[in-house]
Amino acid sequence: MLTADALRRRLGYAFVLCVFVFLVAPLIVVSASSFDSGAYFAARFPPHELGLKWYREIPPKYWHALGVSFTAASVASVISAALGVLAALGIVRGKLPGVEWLRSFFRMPLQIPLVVTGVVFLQFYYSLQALMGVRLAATLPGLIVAYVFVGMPYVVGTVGAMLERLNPRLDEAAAILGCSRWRTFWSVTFPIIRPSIIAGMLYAFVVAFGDVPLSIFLSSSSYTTLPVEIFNTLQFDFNPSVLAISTLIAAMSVVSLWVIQRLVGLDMIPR
Amino acid sequence: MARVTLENLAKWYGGQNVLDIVSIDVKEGEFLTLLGPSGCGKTTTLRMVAGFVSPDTGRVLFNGTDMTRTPTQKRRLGMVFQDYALFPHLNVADNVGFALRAAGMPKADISKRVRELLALIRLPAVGERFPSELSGGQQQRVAIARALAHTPAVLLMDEPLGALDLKLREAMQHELAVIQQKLGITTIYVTHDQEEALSLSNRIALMRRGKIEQLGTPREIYRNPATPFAAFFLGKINFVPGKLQEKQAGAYRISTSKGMLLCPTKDERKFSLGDQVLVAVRPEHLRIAEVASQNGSNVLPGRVVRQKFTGKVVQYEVRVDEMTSFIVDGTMDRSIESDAPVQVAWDVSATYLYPYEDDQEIGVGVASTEPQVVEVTGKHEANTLSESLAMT
Ligand SMILES: Nc1ncnc2c1ncn2[C@@H]1O[C@H](COP(=O)(O)OP(=O)(O)OP(=O)(O)O)[C@@H](O)[C@H]1O
Ligand SMILES: [Mg+2]
Repeated sequence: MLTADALRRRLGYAFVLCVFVFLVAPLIVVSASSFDSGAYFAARFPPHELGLKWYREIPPKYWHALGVSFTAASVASVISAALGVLAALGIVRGKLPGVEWLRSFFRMPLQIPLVVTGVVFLQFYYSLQALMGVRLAATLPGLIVAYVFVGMPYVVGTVGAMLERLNPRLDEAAAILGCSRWRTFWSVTFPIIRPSIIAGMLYAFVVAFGDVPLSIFLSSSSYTTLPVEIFNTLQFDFNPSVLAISTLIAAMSVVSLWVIQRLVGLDMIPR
Repeated sequence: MARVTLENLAKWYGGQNVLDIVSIDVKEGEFLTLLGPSGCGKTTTLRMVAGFVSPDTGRVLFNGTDMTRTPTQKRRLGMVFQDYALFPHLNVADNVGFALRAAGMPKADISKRVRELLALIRLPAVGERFPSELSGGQQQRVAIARALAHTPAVLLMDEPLGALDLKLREAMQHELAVIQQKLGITTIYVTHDQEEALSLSNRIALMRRGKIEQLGTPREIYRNPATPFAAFFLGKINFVPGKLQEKQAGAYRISTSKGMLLCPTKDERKFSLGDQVLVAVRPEHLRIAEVASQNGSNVLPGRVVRQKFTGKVVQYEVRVDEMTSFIVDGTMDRSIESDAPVQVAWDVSATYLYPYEDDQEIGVGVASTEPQVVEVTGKHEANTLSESLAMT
């Protein structure tokens, strides 16, 4: 006989399990199907014959697109971090008039739908090309600028939250002990906010790396990011090697998260 | 070590005059305490010495050199903050050695000095721990060690013991005094705790409303308070308003609602006939007597309305008239019944005299018609007119 208490507990576990399955099921289906090596041009789940066929057949354009995505997202997340930290310092520490206004200004990119941002950037790049002859559409710098625009608010958010909680006396203590402003930043402020910088960078990277709506406007058929390439494949000519590359990326994400966790400890990240 | 001179410091925040011409000369190796109620400008003064706040007028000098515009990091200071402000990302050894690393001292020398300092604060084994792994009292001592590492010319402390419980605070007071004496470092200390100020300081600057009310040794201020507020804030005091009737040889005669009182004349303050005055006397100078008048004594008749046993003494509250109650420190060996008519007596020489001024904060001149409760900040037991009235 189950007591009411035990029953309630089991129901609780079952519910948690359902949520968990709901979250990882798509991933399981995709990765399992990618190991099917049948001749069919279809995703089969569960896989009938196991093999790495589709991994071998990943077309080179995917690798190229992966390179573009990775480079653009990495560079953009680093730039977002640098600018975002400066902005957060200014907002939290600076005694500027209209700080509230500045704060919402830096939140704005998150509130505009990415499709709109994409159109705006494309228009902007076209006008720039017409006016100054600089071509940014469907180039690496063009992608990076757009990714910084959407990535920086995350860094401002995480770093700003950390700075708000940071005891301003620490800066004063460092000054008393002989540190200039510059030195105080590098020996006190930076080490303390580092986890929040990394968290913000990670968000910025993930958003840029997985983006379709914005990137689709800023790429061409010969210069695309991986998510756009996958999107096109799914839409126009399905090929199971898409499952293979997706699985690879999922695996990479898990591994890199684990590495970062080991290096800096994500549990220190403010949310 | 350095001499610190504060010269005519003033500061306004918005329209508020937070500091109003503060001048203090802190001698080399002196332990000077800024004492006063909340909001009187102690922290502001200290932060001007530190260089965190720049004065609107006036100068800060170290050994005669003007430092008013010198940035904090070039002032060679040590500071202990109320919340300690230890660096959370560094362990204790790195916290203590922070100033030495900033100054570019070689690693081996740093670790030697850090060991010395940890021995000084009697925490030799915590070097590897992080601040979050220490108790409040231990963090406090680490903060002191950190402030002393680079042998600063001046040590600043802003209510460094405020966050500790009573027992620990007493132990740390003792420890602070020992360390300060051992190193002979010029120290400016901020507190609103009168006992801490009395026991630690060479001199006290008693502040009120952005001004220095009195500057002197603890004994000077306690024995000879320059103003009613000084008498009120350091120790306990009873006030009786009156009017100057007559000057005799060496004494004034004051008429109060319940009789004549005598006050010794002093050179520093002259009164004229007819002046409204405030007579003040400390509870420990009062006796409860049965006989009416004795020679050389002031006597007021009254009625015991309450008594409070505090351990060392019994505090009697004696109602003199509707508006005046006296707190009297009595001994236990004599029991006095409540509501018994008594005489409160004290030596004329123990009587203070001030010009009369309404001052609700210290309980003078409230309640012309009805009693009211006056909130007294920065002092927990205020045995004054206002409180007695509130007890009715
Ligand atoms: N940055 C500031 N802006 C505006 N007003 C301030 C500022 N700093 C202090 N004040 C005001 O100046 C007055 C004196 O403040 P200060 O901190 O020096 O008081 P304090 O004597 O240290 O009091 P406490 O015992 O409560 O710490 C207060 O009325 C306070 O409100
Ligand atoms: Mg203060």
